[in-house]
Amino acid sequence: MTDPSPQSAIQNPKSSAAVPLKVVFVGHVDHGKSTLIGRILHDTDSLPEGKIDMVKKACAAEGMEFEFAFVLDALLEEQKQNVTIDTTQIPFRTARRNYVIIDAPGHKEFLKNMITGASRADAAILVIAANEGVREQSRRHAYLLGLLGIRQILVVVNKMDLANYSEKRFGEIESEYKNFLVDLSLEARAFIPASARQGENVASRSEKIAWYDGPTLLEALDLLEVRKADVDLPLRFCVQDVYRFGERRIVAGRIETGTLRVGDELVFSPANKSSMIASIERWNAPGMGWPSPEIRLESH
Amino acid sequence: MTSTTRTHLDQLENQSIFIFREAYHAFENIAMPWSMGKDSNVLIWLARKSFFGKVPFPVLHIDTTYEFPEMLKFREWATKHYNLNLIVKINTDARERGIGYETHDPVTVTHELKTVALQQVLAEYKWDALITGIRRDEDPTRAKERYFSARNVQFEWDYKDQPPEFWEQFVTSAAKGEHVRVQPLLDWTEVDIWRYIQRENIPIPQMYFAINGKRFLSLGCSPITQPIKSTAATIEEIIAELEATKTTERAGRAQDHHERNAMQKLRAKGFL
Repeated sequence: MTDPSPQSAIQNPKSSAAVPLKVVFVGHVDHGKSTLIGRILHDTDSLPEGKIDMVKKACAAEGMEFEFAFVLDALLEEQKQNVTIDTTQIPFRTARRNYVIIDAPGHKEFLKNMITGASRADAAILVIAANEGVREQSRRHAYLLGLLGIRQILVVVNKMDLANYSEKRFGEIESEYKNFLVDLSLEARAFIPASARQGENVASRSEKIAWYDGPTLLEALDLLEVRKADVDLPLRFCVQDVYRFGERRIVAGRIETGTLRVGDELVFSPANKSSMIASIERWNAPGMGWPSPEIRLESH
Repeated sequence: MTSTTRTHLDQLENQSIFIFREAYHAFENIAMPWSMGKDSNVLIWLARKSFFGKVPFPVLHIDTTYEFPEMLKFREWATKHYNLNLIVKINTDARERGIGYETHDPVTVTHELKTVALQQVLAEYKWDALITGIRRDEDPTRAKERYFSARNVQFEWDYKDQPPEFWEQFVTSAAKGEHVRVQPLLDWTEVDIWRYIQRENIPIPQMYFAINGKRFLSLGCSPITQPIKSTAATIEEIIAELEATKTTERAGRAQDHHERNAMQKLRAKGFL
């Protein structure tokens, strides 16, 4: 059995074997991040069968209006307060490739959960509600993205339906936020006017926002790239443990940057002692002889 | 060769091994619950990869007494072949009190025979870390988990106030009586698990493969675990089926659907 190479995975974008792009959704509380994610999952047909009906039924039972956000905000407390408390990861797929969506809470009380989610991302979608405009967490989250080293940023100006799909309102937010990002040495790949609740400019192009000729959110997502391993930098190998097998010492750990081969000379920090790599060990399992026919049952 | 050609499975495997080694280094007294299900067997495989062929801590089976016979045969086989230090725990007290699927609802039985059993055995062995095989894509509350996730003395998960976890800095200590759940498979999806079983040729029970037009997606207690209609009799066919279908993996597990947010309630009380 051979594992598909990255090449064959790219030629076959439907394959779930390809490396996914991890994208975190950030922004101020109640600007519609979870709703936007719910909309993407719905419009790309990524939700399990019956999921929407189940959430609708649960909402009706509690006397609440249905929200796409409840698909992700799974905790009872999140649904009752209509706010995301903790970060969630959920896979989805477009025709071009696989994604892992990371939903991050927008309330300042849950900033630690936002960082937890964002630290694993290749790219970020920063959501700003058109009616409220740029707020405290819109700025703070961008600052944290910069700190975490995330350079691929898309800005979605959401809730355009609450701003009458106004080009002027969109332009105000775009120019204010663009200037703010410049101060952080960040640059957004795109500013996208959208309405998650109405499904405008998310998966399909909006007729109500005809003045906008940029990409939809899914089109812009498909242009982003998975973060590559930094193999061209000097070797940084964090030692996790040393395993002793008789006379042998195996240094276990992970390469963070650079490459490593037998014969390379290493400097160990903080003692500044050096040593040479004798071998690179990797354990591979031998064949096990299961399944054995006598254990195979006749029927379920 | 540089590592730039690593596949998605390689990345997942590396991250899981990294977590295993962090846990083994940080905790004194570890155990690994093992259900003999597919994820559980991937977990054992990754443990062996992490520690050069050995599983250096005990493996725990919470036996509900409602196990499928094939699973018990698999337990016997794998314990011998992997040279596992197996601990089997049954909540005999609950069974003697008459707790069972014949008379009680699945949430109650699952709590008693799995979670309470786990509490009992943990009190006995005083493990400070448990390595679990849960995945984010299995359930929306599992989607909010950390790699290292603390449980208090009562086994409660404080999901409303989890600590931050980034740059591979983890919660690597537990107060007396508390423990940390270490979850190396969090990033894996159901399809990833199957591709890895295929690539590595990992032994699993045969109940996952279709016989007479039915197969199991997920294996739990026999009275409350139902097979689905399927003709997938090989791993290739299972992967093809998963890519085409939208049925959820735990659809056949009654305790999840007993009431709204049943999984959240089970998990807050200590269920894996």
